[in-house]
Amino acid sequence: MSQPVKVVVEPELCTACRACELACHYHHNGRFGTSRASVRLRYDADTSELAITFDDTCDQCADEAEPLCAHFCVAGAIRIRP
Amino acid sequence: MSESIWAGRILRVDLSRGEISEQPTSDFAEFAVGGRGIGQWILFREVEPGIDSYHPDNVLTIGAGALVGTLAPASCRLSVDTKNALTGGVCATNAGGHFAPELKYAGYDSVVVTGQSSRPVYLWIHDGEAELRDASHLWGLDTWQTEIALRRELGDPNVRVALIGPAGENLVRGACLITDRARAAGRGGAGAVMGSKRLKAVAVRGTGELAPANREAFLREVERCNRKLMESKIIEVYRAGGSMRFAGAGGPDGNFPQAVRNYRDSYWPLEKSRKIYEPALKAGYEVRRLGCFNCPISCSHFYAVRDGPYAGSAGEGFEINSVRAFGSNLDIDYPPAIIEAHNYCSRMGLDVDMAGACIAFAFEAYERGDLSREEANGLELTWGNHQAAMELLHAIVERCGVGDMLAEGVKRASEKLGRGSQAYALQVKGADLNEASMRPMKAWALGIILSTHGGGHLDGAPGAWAWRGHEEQARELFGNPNPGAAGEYQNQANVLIWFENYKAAIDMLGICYFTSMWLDALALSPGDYAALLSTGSGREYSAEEVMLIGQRLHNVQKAFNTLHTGHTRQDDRPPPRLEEPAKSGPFKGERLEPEKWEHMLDEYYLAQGWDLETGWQTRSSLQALGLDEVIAKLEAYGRLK
Repeated sequence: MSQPVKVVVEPELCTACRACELACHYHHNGRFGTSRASVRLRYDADTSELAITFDDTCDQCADEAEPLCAHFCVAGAIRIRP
Repeated sequence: MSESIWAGRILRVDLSRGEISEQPTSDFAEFAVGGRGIGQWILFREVEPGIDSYHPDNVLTIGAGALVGTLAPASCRLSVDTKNALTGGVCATNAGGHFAPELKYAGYDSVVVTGQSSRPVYLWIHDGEAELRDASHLWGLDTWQTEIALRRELGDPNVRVALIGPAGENLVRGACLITDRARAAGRGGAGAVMGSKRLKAVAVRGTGELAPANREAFLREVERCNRKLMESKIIEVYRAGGSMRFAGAGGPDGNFPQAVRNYRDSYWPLEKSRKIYEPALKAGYEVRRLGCFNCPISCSHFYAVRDGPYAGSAGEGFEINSVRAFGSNLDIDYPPAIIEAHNYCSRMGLDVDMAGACIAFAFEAYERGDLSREEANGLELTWGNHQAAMELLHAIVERCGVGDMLAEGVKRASEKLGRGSQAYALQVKGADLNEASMRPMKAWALGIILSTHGGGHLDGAPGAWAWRGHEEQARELFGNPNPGAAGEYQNQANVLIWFENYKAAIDMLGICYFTSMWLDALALSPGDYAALLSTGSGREYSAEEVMLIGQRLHNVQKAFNTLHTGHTRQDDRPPPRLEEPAKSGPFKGERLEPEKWEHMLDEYYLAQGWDLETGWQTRSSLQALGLDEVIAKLEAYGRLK
């Protein structure tokens, strides 16, 4: 899917820490992992280029106070849309 | 799927027999918690004194901390523990990146490697299964090439790899493990031990999960800890520039002492320093800031060189130590050379501290005439000559000519070279030194020299910067309102011991040390880590218990050193070079004065309850910690006081 409407994504600010994946997996499963995350980070270690993508399983954290990917993104690469 | 913050299993690999088995993590979790704790307890129990670091019976453990893979901040650390290739004692080295959480998601908290394979192999761990595979086609490749090849071979771009490069294969004693291209388990030659076992790599992929015992309470603690970190002014500096903010010969204000020209001085002129400090590198070379798994600080930098002789060199993982090792300590103020030297070490799997120290030693030997040009592979080893430094770096990895001697570390190299060169061999117990500030910061220096892994700041060395403005808190914790203050020899023992225990506890949890009170008195305390562990594990830990578990671990490591090396008080003294005064700058005249150093040692041994003459542990000090097992082994080898 295209990026969720609740968030703004700025890949140039991303530090590739994958806190978004970890938080997203937690939203879906209430456990810690990354395999069931709707958000994915793709990082090219040769160039440092990266991409942040969301798949169709993203429910925009409907039952959370705010999307957890944005909540745990300290770098501000995924932010709550104002 | 684990119902705990621990994956629940430890993988055991016997390379001599090609056998793989498992044991429950619960055999260790109660007293060793995870990561460095499990690794060091296994070493203590299973490696007998008298064997060489490269003997098949040496054990290499690769372990994730108890909180790794959870939402606890910077829950990413990997501990690599083995018998040190440089000192013969403890190697407890630590890396960030993404390997450690992947290991736990794959179903294992630690991997314990014993024996020696007859041919190169790699270990492939995936979702609760493990197998040894042939690595003949990977032997000789650098770490970056190998990671690419393994991901292609295993058909998954998300595979994480901890591995060695040519330095480890060639048994360079400072060889390290690399993961995620640049995250190094750097100190102590664990890469050489892995090379001696002919284990090229450990590749992991896991889709499993970890579960906190008390989900809501754990998340509350995570949120609270994250807020503390975001409110810290010092951590804000690290978020802005990483440890690189203190690189150069002075950091932002020019007053931070460094190692210059093999520690002959502690200060570099600002015109040189400002060519290689963080703002200059950011402006000229930075492509992106990067962080380890789930890290709110993100201290790493990706730098790329676009022109000149090192055009095309691009990579990450720069910390202050690379700039010191290949900058001020070699008098090189050309950033592209420093960037390439760092990247080369990452590719080859070589510790930057060891490499830089060896090159600085060779430069000084050349200048003094103790090493001729012919002996130096025909290189002109003059300060600032970055081309020669690079050639020498290659020679060390390839063990070519003088590089073969230097690949043994400066202690062994100086013993082989002779000619009085031991006087300027910067090493502690065989571990090469690449550290800042050692002359003026007496407690910092003591922490480095007393470190159980030889010489290094990541054990008990206290940072004075953390306590400015927090004198009352410091007085309460250590009985000293200015811990680690410049020029202060007295009343530092309790500070050191507190940090030794604290760091040991943090390494068992697998949280990055940059989240701690080592950086800022207002950052995460023993109570904060205890709260994360309690809510995560479901067993109540107090701050005092976490510190006690850390103290026990530190004592296990001290005992390992005593058993394996016989080091005594005389080995707890600084290299002679640091007794010579700094020649210039704000700390001109500062040195480590031998008499006052002895007073510091007395104070430290007394506070530990150890023997003043030998520096060894005593029965009563170990009884107080409930370490009967340690008492029995020391007694059996006649090394208990």
